[in-house]
Amino acid sequence: MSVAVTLAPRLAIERIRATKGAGVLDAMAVLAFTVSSWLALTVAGGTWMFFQRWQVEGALSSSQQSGLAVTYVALAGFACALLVIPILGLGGGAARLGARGRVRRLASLRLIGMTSGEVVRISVIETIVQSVVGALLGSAIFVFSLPLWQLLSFQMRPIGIAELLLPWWLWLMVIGALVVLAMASTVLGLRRVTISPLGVARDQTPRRLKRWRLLVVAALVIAFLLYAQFTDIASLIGLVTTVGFLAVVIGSINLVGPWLMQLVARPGARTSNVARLLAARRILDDPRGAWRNVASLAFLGFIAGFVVTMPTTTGDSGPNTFFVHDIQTGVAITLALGLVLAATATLMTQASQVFDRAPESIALDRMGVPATIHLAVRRRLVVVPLAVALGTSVPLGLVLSTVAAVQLESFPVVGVSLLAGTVILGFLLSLGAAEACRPLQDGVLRVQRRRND
Amino acid sequence: MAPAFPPWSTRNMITPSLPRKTLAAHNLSKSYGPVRALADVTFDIPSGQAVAIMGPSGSGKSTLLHCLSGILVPDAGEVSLGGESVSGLKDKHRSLLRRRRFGFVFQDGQLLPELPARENVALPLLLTGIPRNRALKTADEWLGKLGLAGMENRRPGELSGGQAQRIAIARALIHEPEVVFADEPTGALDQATGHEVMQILTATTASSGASLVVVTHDDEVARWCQRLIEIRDAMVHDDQLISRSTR
Ligand SMILES: Nc1ncnc2c1ncn2[C@@H]1O[C@H](COP(=O)(O)OP(=O)(O)O)[C@@H](O)[C@H]1O
Ligand SMILES: [Mg+2]
Repeated sequence: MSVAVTLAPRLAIERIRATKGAGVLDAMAVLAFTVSSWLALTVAGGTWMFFQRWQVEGALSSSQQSGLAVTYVALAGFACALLVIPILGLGGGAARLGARGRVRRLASLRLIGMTSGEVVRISVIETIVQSVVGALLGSAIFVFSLPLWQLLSFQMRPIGIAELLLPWWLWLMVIGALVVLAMASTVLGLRRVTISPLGVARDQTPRRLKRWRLLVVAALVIAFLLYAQFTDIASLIGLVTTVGFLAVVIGSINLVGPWLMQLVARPGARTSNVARLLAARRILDDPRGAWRNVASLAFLGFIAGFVVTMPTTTGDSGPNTFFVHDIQTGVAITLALGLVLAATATLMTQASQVFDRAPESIALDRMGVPATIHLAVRRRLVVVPLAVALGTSVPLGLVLSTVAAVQLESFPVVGVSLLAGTVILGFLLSLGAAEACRPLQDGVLRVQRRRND
Repeated sequence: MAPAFPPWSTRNMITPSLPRKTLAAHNLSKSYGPVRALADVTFDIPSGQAVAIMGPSGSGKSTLLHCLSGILVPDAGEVSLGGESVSGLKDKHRSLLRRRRFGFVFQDGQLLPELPARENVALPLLLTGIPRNRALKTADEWLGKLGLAGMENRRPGELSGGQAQRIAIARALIHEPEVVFADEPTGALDQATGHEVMQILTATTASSGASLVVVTHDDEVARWCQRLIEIRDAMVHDDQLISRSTR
């Protein structure tokens, strides 16, 4: 360990000097750690706010209001649950990306006589440095973004800055979890990198996914619609079973998602357009992977579509009115955060693809294939899965809620346009991430690689 | 001896009587920082000739091949094809030239892993805007010609090294290039497979009428070429025609 500890700072300095591809990957890893800790803190802060409001209110007011306050905590916890997987995924991906950026340098350290254990330890130390830097930056962004939240209100009360501030021990827990996860991902990432680089195509022709997936989901949806027609949501059992059934329907989206990816990509595999062909072939190569990147967005899109039609101006006044409004706000925030996460993940995936596929793109460049093709492929790889995920889940949510749960009095124009706006911004953000890989790609092509001569 | 193009040849359709062209290197020099990779290299390759380039590792063979094919621009000197400058062209036009008029075979890592063999082969045609069906039909014919019938839908990962190189050869030839450049195309293969691939490369290139510039480490490989250029320390050390009797 001592060797590793003394060497790590020197290695860090060396890397700052060597600002080639690996340096960019490191910077991206730090960026991803920053975004994931910022979002993790934000979500945790929101939950903390509702928790405190419940603690204070619960003591003061009637049991009915206290019950409602608990519901807020539960819903915030639910939002956390929806975001925790993509946040952890981003943190883990950042760690693997950083590890991949330094894998070649680590290999040369092995050549000068370091044991693989020492190499892994050095890498873990570097990951800790990166993730701690990211956590500090993320915390700073979190703090500086606090005033913006004042514009929103929950429970008919604007959000207070102080309400979102986490106590130090909670802050430490959130950050600590991210750093520990990053360490674990580094060890795993290094191992996988040495066996076979992530993100590179499989050797075998992928097997087609079967249509039964769609049939199962369609059957579930129809069953849900029928069930909801004959169930009284007002009763507790009715509500619980309906929500449970809905959860099953949402979960089943995962079954049909990869199949949908394949369905949408297949025509692209029969085209004369080379960029479209390449993008389609890559999606077809791993439709499950393409879906995995957007799965959480699909859930969020579904929920957003579901709640947007809920009427906020029902006859009875009181808590119900602001409750529906608050749910819509909360879902919109969760979706927006999910879109930011997705864009950051896109940036990381695409950036590491640039490096993973360097030999391939250099060969294409030598053959005279214009470099613009890579950007065109990347745009499609970003847009198609997003469009599939949101293009199916949001309408599905809309339809299910209008048919099953809510009697629409008027079409919620404002809500739907806000939702559409959020989704469009999310698309643009992800496209921007794809665009940001352009200098990396150019750099890879400019460096005349020297290979086994 | 007029080169016989196969009936589906795009060259028959587009340019029925393309004048055959000489690839000329004139006083080429190229350095990487302090390292001199090419020093004043001059020679001509008449159209249709198969040239083997040999020499020790690091002597400048790849740099020469890259300069000849317009991948790199030499620091000094000029490369020309049929009297037209190659090295003087802008980046974009050199790209176009490589795509349209040259074919390439590298050591490895050049086939796109997600694409089935036939689409890998058809790529140069698709890039020039030829419709998919026609491009794939031509690709299948080339695959058949190279003994790969039945493997049209296999992906590179499902092929042996020799088969993958034959796919690469088909791809290098499908658009009827004027010159085929190959940089150690058999470097990753065992000797027997390497020789087989080299034989196929030289034979198919010759029958399509293209010139061939092949960098190789293998003495025996030169047997299938008409000329051997030896590079040492960034310069042409030896340049000789290989007489038919020894081939
Ligand atoms: N991109 C590069 N950067 C720096 N030096 C290079 C580069 N490419 C080649 N060289 C150097 O130029 C010389 C010739 O290289 P190369 O043409 O690849 O030789 P060969 O193909 O004969 O092995 C070698 O000394 C090599 O180290
Ligand atoms: Mg070489």
